[in-house]
Amino acid sequence: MNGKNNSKPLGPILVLVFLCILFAVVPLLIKDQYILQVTIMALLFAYWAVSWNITCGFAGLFSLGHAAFIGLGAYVSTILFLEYAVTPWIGMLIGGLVSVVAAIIIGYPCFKLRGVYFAISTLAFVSVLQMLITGTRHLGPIDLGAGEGLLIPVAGHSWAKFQFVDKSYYYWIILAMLVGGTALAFSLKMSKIGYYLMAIKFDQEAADSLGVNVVKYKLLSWCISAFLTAMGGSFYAQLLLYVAPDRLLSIPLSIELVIIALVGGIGSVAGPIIGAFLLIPLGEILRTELGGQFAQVEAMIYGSILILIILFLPGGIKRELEERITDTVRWVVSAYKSSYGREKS
Amino acid sequence: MVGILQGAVSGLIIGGIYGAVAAGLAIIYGVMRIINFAHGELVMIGMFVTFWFWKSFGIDPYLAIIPSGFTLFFIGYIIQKGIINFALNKTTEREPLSVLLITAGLSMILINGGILLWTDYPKMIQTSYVLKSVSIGIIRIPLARLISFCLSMALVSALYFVLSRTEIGREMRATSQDREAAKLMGINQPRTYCLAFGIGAAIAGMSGALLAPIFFIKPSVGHVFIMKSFVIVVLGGMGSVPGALIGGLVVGLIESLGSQFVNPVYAQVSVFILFILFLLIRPSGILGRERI
Repeated sequence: MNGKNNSKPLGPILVLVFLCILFAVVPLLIKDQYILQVTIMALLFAYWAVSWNITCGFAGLFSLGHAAFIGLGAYVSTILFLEYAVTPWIGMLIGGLVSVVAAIIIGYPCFKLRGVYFAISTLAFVSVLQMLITGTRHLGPIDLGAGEGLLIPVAGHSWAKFQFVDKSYYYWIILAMLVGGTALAFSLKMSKIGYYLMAIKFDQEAADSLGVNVVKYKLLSWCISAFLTAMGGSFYAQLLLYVAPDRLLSIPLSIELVIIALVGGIGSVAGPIIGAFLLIPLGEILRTELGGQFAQVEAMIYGSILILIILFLPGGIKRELEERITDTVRWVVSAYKSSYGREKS
Repeated sequence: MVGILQGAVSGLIIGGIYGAVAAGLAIIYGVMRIINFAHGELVMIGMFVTFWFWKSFGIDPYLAIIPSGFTLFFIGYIIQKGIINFALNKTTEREPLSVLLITAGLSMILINGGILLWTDYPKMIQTSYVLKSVSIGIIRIPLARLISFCLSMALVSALYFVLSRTEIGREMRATSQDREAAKLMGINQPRTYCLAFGIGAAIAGMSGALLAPIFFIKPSVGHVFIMKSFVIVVLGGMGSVPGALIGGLVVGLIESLGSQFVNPVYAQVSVFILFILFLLIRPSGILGRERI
């Protein structure tokens, strides 16, 4: 890093602003609710993958347990709304905080574990939560719904109840969340903390010996990630008006986030977003083209994509694209230079 | 008192079978340091091989151990040779995450492929002895479970014998102890890896055959075994085959007595808490050694 580059890079910010405006007008042009629904899901998964990436891509804490945070966010906001009539907007924040507490409880002891063992412990965490909620109908006075889940009563168009008939509102909310999450991830990556996390990711012992408080920064990225993921969980609950442990707290959902981030490219801010916009529409197209009878084909293709990406594109699609583009530019420049040189002589 | 004894015995019996499943995972982990996420699905394929042999040819499920073992050995060998060896060549990590994710991808393909082929509706094997039980003193044990338990003990002992007394076992133990040194001593590493994965998968397949008469058979059944097998392998000491057996018995006991006296959910949860505690405090497992 030389001194010049320390000023905030303007290019990516401009691109981001342009993309935001582009995406924000989409619901005004497209009234098709199905396409909107698919785009909302793509935005939601992009948001989750961005949040996942804050801890896994930046700090190298490979989590297979983010479905636990999604589930906690969804359940907390739903229960608060059903039992205590708390608006889901506040429920969302409380869900995020509960999930941060859970993240500290599970994460703090497990930070001692190396990559694979950390991943498996987070997996165990999801399994435990799923079993607990599936097996518990009542927790004191609170109705947990056990395996059948909880339904949120339909209330029409209401900002206070976080429910809308027109999908465009969900679209704008999740777009705003994605922009917020991405901006946070981006500023985190560019800040001193981002460099600390990067140092921890590449060589924890070296970072430690140079005076980086490893546990503190790991915990920080882990908690930010948990908080953001849980807010997405609350949004998901309001979008579906239904929470159930078999999907929200499942290992496949955790792995889906990982696949999306891996396809786009771990460690960069834009990678997970690219991954979500490639995979979610693909899944939707497969689902509608093949029909419910072959719903499994989608998961099989996801599994194959996961294997192929790891074997052949470990850096993700974003890095591959960038390399291709730089190569092409270099080739054009050199071709231009050589032809220019020939003219001269 | 009778209740405790009955619970303990049925826990040990199912635990022994879990131990056999986990022994397959342990040998794969021990030799290559990879975590096979698709292990439960290998068990599932073993169960289906057994089911189809029984359904089409009327072959007794316990005789189907042999074709099931061979099929899975073949599948495991191919998976290792065709996919995982490539990934292992690319990475320098001791316990590569990339391979964990590859096996997670495999598990997705196998579960969903199974559902496409056979639907997720549970199947059962009915034989003359499925509903019989034997009385030993004051306790009663279902006959099929008893046979499966005895055979899984035989299976684990045979695996232990192969590891400790044969040339290929020696090669695997050497690779497990020091990969580089083993390579320098002239051990063909890719071949050892393929055989290790093949043997681990064969153990999964044979355990599948042992589980087929006592369990429902469906493509998504693997997830019942996979987390349990991880727990057992950690309890037994990473990669240790005798450890896997002991870990299996412990998990079986906790599950059985816990479900009987507390509540099945808390029994499962306490198994997982034990898992995380062992990972943190005693990663070398109950036996305290990290070798196959």
